[in-house]
Amino acid sequence: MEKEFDPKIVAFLCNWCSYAGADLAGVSRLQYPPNPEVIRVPCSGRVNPFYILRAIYEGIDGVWVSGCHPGDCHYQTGNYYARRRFYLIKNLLEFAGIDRERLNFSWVSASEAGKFAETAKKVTERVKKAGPIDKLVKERYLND
Amino acid sequence: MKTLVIGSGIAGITASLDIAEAGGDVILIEKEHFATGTLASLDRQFPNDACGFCQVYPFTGDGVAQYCIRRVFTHPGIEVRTGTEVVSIEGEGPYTVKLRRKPRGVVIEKCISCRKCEDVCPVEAEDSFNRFGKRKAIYTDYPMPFPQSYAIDWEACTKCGECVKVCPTDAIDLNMVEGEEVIEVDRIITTTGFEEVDPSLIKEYGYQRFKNVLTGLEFERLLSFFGPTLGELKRPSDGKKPERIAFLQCVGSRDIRNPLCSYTCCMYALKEMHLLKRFHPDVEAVMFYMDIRAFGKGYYKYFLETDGKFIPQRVAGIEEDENGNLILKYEDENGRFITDVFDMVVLATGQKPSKDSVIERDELGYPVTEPFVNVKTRNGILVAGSSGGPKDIADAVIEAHSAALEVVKDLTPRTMFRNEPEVFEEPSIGVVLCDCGGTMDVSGLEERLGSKGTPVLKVSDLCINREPVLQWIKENKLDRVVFAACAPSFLDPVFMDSGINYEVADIREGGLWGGSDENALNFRVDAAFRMLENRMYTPSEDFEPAKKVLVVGGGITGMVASLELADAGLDVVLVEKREQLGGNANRIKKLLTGENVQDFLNSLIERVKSHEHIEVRTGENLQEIKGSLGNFTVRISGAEERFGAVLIATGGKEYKPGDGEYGFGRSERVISQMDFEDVIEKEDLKSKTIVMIQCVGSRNDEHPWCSRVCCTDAIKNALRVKEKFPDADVFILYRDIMAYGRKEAFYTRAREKGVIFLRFTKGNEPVVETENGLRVKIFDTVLREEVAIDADFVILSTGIVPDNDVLRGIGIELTEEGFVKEANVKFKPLETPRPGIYTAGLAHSPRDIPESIAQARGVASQIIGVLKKERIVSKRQISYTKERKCAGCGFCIDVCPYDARYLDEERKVAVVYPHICQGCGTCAGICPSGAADMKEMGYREMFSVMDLV
Ligand SMILES: Cc1cc2nc3c(=O)[nH]c(=O)nc-3n(C[C@H](O)[C@H](O)[C@H](O)COP(=O)(O)OP(=O)(O)OC[C@H]3O[C@@H](n4cnc5c(N)ncnc54)[C@H](O)[C@@H]3O)c2cc1C
Ligand code: SF4
Ligand code: SF4
Ligand code: FES
Repeated sequence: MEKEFDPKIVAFLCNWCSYAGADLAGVSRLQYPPNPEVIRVPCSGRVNPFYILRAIYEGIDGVWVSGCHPGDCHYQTGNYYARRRFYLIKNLLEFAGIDRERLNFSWVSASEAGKFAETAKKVTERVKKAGPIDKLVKERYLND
Repeated sequence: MKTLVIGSGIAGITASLDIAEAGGDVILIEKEHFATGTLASLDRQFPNDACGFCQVYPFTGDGVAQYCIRRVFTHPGIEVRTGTEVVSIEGEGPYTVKLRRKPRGVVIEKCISCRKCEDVCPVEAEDSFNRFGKRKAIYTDYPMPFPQSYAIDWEACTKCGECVKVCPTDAIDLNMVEGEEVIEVDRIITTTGFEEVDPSLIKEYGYQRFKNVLTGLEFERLLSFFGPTLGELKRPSDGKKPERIAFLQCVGSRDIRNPLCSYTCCMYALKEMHLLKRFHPDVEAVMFYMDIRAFGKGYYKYFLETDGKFIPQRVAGIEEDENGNLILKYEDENGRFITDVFDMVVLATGQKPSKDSVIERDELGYPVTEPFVNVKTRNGILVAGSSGGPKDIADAVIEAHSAALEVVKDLTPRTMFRNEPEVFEEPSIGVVLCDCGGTMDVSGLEERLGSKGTPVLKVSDLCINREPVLQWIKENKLDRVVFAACAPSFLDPVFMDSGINYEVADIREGGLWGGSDENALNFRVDAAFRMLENRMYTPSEDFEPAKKVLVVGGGITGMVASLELADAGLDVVLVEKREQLGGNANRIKKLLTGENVQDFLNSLIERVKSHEHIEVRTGENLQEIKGSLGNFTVRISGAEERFGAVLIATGGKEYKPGDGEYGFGRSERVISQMDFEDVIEKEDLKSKTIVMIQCVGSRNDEHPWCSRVCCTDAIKNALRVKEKFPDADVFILYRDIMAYGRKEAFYTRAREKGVIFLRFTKGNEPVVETENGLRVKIFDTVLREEVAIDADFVILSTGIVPDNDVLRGIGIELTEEGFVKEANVKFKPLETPRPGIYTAGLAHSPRDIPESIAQARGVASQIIGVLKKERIVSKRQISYTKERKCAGCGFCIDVCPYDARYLDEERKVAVVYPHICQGCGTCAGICPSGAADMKEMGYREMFSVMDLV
């Protein structure tokens, strides 16, 4: 039997809310899949499209960006820019043949432990569904 | 200089931060075992349904671990002591204060929050924080509170000793006793907040008898994602999801038990309706109210945006049926008795200032303060926040700044703390591994790191064992370390100022506790390792700020601020566009509370004009503000000058009614409330009939805000008329009477003196006829018929409109309404989004004189705090531009929330003001050419980490 696909996911969590939400999930002993490898960024607005492109390019199966809820961002507006940019790049990548499921964006506040764990599960499921990216990368970019 | 701050709510925290930033030492005491007061319970606050507590931290300063304040609150100048109360105070400054410390049962300095004790504790007790559900006898209010340590609930604890057996650090002491200590302090600020009026006193609402009748605070917990139901909406009686919820206002306010208005309950109930609709849109919300007091900045709009039904009636009583449903009885607008069934009732329980005995208070518990300055009490102790009378967050913060001024102005700034660890030519990196009291298996990590030859120190209690760890780092000649341990929010407060470069690999909360596998742990440690390797280390930058302030606007606000700044030794240039100082106050005779405004104003003007540090310039024109905090270049009437900070106190205008609006301009006896002040003093109003009309030019489509002062101005003048001419008839035609807080007493007095209040609704405004004498027609909502009043005077309570057009061209952001926009409505209410530029008074929003003065003082406190520093130091991990790559497109400049970037016109590259940059990275996120980058979490660092995934 084939081993279940264990996707590689990189998660950019903003320091003030989403990362704190992840902490709270841990303290509350909420279990979630270990796939999203967390990188703490000061603010979701820090995530430049280059990061997302680079991740896809390097064969990371999925990306997850999470920040504070609208209005909560410690730096006031970072999360708005993040969202706008994220959807642009998502559409662009979809156009280029990258499945929607690989790119995920969420708002998780410092008190939403449950939502964090849920989203981590959902993101992992979605990326699993999309399958390993290396196939795709090879087919679309390398074999052409 | 040492200051004691009593109470760790938002007011106490704000005042402490002001003082500590300005170089003072603060002891902040809190009677409960966990800090941050009411805000700990409120996930989201009006008027934006968001949080933002963390934004109360000042822009400047390094070396402070900044996290969500509900989790971590630290500052090098502030010592927080929980479980501590004042026993007695002697002296009149300096004071000798006796403190009593309740036994916590757990030694904070030893607890590593491993949670072992909570797991083994066999006793379940009522959850005192969430108000529903259970928790253990050894507990924290919520996961990861501040301080980060457990406490024992002595009422529930059976002293079985199970926790003591498992505690790896011997932190638990079940025999801990109360302690007393005497301290000497120079100043005292009391910020003890409010007390809820016990709603069970209002028998007819059945609080505590009926399970589904909750207080507002309880309902907030029920909506919370870390509340008792983790955000699921369930009725306490049977766990059913409610379909209809009634919100009852003024429960324990504006009645015989508590004659005053509680200031925030209308707004917090509206917020609860907002949150309800946001998270549970299918639930119906109905509010029963007397007046909707939405008088603050943006509050009226917030009310308009509330989705629900509003019934302007008081509920007579509540009964419960056998299913736990609640039957409400009330009279409708036609006088019919209605009964209606709800699944849940939320009581907007009233608040009173908390009883602390450190200051003189009146019979209702309100402090006796100096005229015009509502934070100074007679014995020299300062009061701020809800302790001085219930209020919302923004006003609590403003008062806290104002109270802090009394300390800040006498401080000599200390050399700011700097966090400047050394880096070697060749990185030398080690790892400190903590197994958290033996609760985590880190042997795999230890082995793997050891086999790679990385220096590893294994400990069990990193967060409480700073010195030996620092010693090890030194001995091993490391310039960077990975702390593979718990969450950064635990470790930063311990190590932030220790002078080492470190990165936290969180293997506890974010790792093992969340179900991470070996791979995930390895990733975290390796990632931290690479970050340290690839980070850019440059020292922070610093410069001397200009010790000169520009105050724009010579009204009461501008003058009060100028005097405070000048008294503190800063040079002030006060520009006023008119020839005369004083602004709107020139036309106001008395405060609601009776104080003479003209005397106060004249003495202000005199002092301003003669102050050696104040230069008054009238008739001048502000043209441009360039630069940033500490170093602005301002063009005034053509000439450029350097300033350290700017205060925008340009005030507001009285709304001028349109021709024929309520008969205005058609009769000389239709005049504004301000002009009426003169008439009362000069004319004989014996047996005259006076009709006042409220909300003229306020709360309509053109001006969708409440002008806040007009209701009480009308009441003030009505009382004055009644005092001078008792037989005059005075009618006040209103929509909602905004007699918030203590002002309610004057509303009550006016009714007692025979002033007649008639309500109208928007769309059913009264009509003023001027043809044959003055006649006012209004549809009386109580009598349900039209009434006509023949009047001698019609007084229009004209609203306040902004007068900020001059600011538009010079880079000051305005709200949709045209008032100056603040950096954060609740937590930075006096700062504009551009650090170093402040706003106060009517330019900010409508408010009365004492409220404007509080703002002026608050601004002065903040400006003195920064500008008196010898040097302003930048944060270390901020953004920079790789100039070679920069295309000069300016995207980064547009998106920076703090205006920390500008375009160097000559070189066409974006440049950073290092001391303004907060390190958010928004600029680096948007820069299309990869030129805007961060010193921490820069491209190199980030890519090196991503390669590990
Ligand atoms: C249900 C509810 C919802 C609200 N929602 C909002 C909202 O959405 N937006 C908004 O702007 N405002 C809201 N408010 C108002 C807001 O809570 C207050 O403006 C604010 O919290 C007041 O802060 P404070 O620091 O003055 O008092 P508190 O937060 O009450 O803090 C006082 C602290 O002092 C401590 N203390 C008391 N006595 C002593 C003593 N003798 N010695 C030592 N310590 C002592 C207390 O334990 C407490 O920690 C709401 C209020 C309620 C009740
Ligand atoms: S260190 Fe002791 S008191 Fe603190 S959480 Fe662990 S067992 Fe409890
Ligand atoms: S990181 Fe960039 S966007 Fe953020 S404050 Fe600094 S300069 Fe402004
Ligand atoms: S700080 Fe969380 S998104 Fe900006």
